Amino acid sequence: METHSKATVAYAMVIDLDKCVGCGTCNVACAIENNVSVPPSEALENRGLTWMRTQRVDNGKAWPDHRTVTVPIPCQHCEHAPCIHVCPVTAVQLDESTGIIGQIPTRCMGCRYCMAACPYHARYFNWFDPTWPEGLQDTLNPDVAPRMRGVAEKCNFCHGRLDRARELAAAEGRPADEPVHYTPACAEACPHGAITFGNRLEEGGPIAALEKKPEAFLLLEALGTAPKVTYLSREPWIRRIGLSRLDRVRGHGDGPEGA
Amino acid sequence: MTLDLTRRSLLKFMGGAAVGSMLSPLPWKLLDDAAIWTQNWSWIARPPRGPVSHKYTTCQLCPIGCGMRARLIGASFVSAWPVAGHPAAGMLCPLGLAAAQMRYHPSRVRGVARRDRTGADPAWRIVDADATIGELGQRLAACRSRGAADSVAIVDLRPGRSMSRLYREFLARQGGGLYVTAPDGWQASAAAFAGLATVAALAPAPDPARARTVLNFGAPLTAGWRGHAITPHAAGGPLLIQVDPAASITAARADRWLPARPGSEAPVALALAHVLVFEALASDARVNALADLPHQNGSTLRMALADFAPERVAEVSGLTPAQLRDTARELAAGRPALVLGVGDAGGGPLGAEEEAAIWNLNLLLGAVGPDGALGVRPADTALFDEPAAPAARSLSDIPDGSLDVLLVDGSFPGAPVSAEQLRRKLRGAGGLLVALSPYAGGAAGTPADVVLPTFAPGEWVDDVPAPALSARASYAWATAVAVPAPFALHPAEWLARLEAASGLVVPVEGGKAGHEAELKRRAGVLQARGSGQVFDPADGNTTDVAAMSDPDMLAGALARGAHWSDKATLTLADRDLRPLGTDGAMAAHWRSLAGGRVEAAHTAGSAGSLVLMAGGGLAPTAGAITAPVLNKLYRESGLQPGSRQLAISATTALAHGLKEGAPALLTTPHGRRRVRVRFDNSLPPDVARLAAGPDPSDMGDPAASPDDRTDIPDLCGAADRPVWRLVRADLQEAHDGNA
Repeated sequence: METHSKATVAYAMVIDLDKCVGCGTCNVACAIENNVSVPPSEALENRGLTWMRTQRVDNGKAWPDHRTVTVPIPCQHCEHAPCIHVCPVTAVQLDESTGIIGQIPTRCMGCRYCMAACPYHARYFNWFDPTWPEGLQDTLNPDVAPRMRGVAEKCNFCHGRLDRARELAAAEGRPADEPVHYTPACAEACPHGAITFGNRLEEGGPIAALEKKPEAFLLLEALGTAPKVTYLSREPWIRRIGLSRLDRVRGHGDGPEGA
Repeated sequence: MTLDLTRRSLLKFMGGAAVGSMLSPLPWKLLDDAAIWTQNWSWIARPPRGPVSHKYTTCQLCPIGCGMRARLIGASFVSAWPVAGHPAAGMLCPLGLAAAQMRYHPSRVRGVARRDRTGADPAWRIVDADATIGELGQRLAACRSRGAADSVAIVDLRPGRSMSRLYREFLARQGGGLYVTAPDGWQASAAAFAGLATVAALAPAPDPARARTVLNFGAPLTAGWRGHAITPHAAGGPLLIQVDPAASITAARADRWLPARPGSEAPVALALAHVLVFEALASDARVNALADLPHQNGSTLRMALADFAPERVAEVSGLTPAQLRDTARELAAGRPALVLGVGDAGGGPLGAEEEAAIWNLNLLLGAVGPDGALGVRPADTALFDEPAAPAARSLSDIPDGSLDVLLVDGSFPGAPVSAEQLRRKLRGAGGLLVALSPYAGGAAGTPADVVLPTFAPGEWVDDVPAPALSARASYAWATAVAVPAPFALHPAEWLARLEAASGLVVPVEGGKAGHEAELKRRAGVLQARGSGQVFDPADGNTTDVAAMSDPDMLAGALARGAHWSDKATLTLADRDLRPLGTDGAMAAHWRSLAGGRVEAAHTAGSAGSLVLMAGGGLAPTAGAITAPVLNKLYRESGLQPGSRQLAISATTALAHGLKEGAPALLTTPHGRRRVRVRFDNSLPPDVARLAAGPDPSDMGDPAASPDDRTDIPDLCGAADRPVWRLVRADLQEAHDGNA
């Protein structure tokens, strides 16, 4: 007797770094969609909340051989997420039905173990009460609750949008276990189509095809976290961004271009 | 058995109760409720509640006019999202995405605001609106009565709109005040092209998608130029050759990168023209037909180009003669070819001689016309039959110290105008600079004495004409998607109140009604013209205007966020084009560049260890007011360079004794500014770059000292010279650590 049906949905993201120009549209779209607050002006620069962080990386060479790439880094929604195992109050959970790693702020007690455990630095802590300049609360998204001071938070693949898509599917009378299609804010807003989002288990779907491309790579793959965010680039030096120090010690980073 | 209450039994009972309660839901429910309770402190923001709806409109935060889907919760405009397939651009940049926040910007004024710039307390104060309007009206009446109408001027930072017509009519009724525009890099480039044609009121319409080869002088083509990123050559797009001092993203992704020195655009373009002409890559027939002077068969053009042999230009540009010759040959072989100028539009316009040199390559390559990649369309002034008087003039045409009242349209938060230059036009301490603006900041509010609060973007209907250098003629309305602020007025209403206060009779169709009438008139003009298509953002369908029988149909569509566009329809013969300008004066300008004084052309009379390049970054123009959420890009992540971050190569910075993040003082002949050093090895040695705006520290915070407040255009001398994108500068460490 089968007690658990096999999951048919595992949401995943593919980011094409050859298309990304570092405009930051994804960062802003994410902040607007998820009510990510503006820290007070006295806040230190590294205490902001950026669920979608964009890191600028270069090839280490001087002009005119200098090249840069911008790498958008949301939560990687790892299959084997370290943040889940270290959380003492089960405020981090893997949703088996979607593959999304969820953060439950009402359970979080602010120990920040998850932040220490995340190798991608994709988690952020609310050092301040969520504040917006006067009147700006009228532009908040009612689908997402603002978080309080003292809890960690991170990208959840726009769970508010997933809920809306599910409500729409239910209103249309579709079965509850049928996969729903939706687009996170960053993917919708990206002006250059660099971010593709979808169900990696969908046969013939765009995610499965992109993940199989030879230019696909994962960040810190050697750590075994099995991220659900895949990156694409045709440039070898960019692909080496994904290598860990372990890879470099093993000699995988010593390519002809020497990243 | 007796019931003895002993100390032991009491303790056992209490222990058992404690353990038992742990097995009940009670403590966990209390913990859970406490957690939820802490989410509902009174100071934690609560999102609005209500039915969800969408309205379509057009972004008006920069000239491109991207389509926008506004999400509303009840009556609250909460967010803006792109419209896929929109003809202007199926995207929104971060500025547009944050448009909903612009209504609540900390700089927004909530009443008529005034300050005494020369007094001990220059802070803004809300003052009595009627008294202020009365005073301004008296000033206008006094100017009119003494026959000094030219001591009143309006600066229109986005000409070509319905409000532009109202400004001109207002000035005409005042007896002939001055109507002033401040062209940005794109508008200046378009004007330079128009100066090479004998046909009036036309605008260039370059279309990179129609070219086989594109030579681009610095514009970010692969990073979303004018709302459209160019398709890579490997994916069927044109071969892209980028002329750029920096190893920018576009340079890195181009098929060929020519790292020319800053300021050498004109000599490089003229060297390419030299090769085209003297190697007969442009046919003699064409060169002769481009009759720079009548009956000279192109000889004047040949003489003008003779000084720009590749070997000579190589010395000033840093390129090799072979690179220049190969590029010219590649352009000739890869027709239809297109050559684009402008560069980084945020750094202000290129010089007229540079623009002419770049456009000339298109003329020689036969790019102009329906078979080429450079179409020509009617200018908006011709499309909508704008009044000719008062004529548009530039700020530099107005004598310093000549204006009693200077009104500045601040509908757009950023514009390439120098605050210092605006102030200089006023007649000493007696002149008043009045901003019609939602903000006590930005291009209009920063230099102002008085701010008359107008509606913020999204609160009123404004029209969006075609951006300069657009491949197609276009027109749309930025419709009202939010409830107007009660403390603000339509700019046309302020004009009507000023007019009444000055003793004139306001026309029946004055104020807001006059603006609405002009909007509808324009819709009627397009409907009567009968050509072009209308894109409906709600369903993505396109309708031919010819199928619209009634002007109200088109007006109704525009009010629902539709976008009208039409292909470039004008054709120009070679005889209509003048490579040396319609007055032939360009030859003399080029000759002044021929002595190898490339940098001196921009930085004459100054010394300094660095060449400072002004740039745009994300904000399209200087002094832009940006939404608070954009500090995610500027202050929190450092993703976009702010106007306090000096990009400079590590080698050059270390040679000045400066490390990454070090506070420094940047000094030019025109001013100084505190900056922080940001290593950027994409820049060549001894070259630094500073974004024109915004200042991340100004996203709600006052600047700390006068050194912090120097606008980048002013730092680069925009008040004194029309081309300010390059300036010599010195850099030294700031020891007080307050940069």
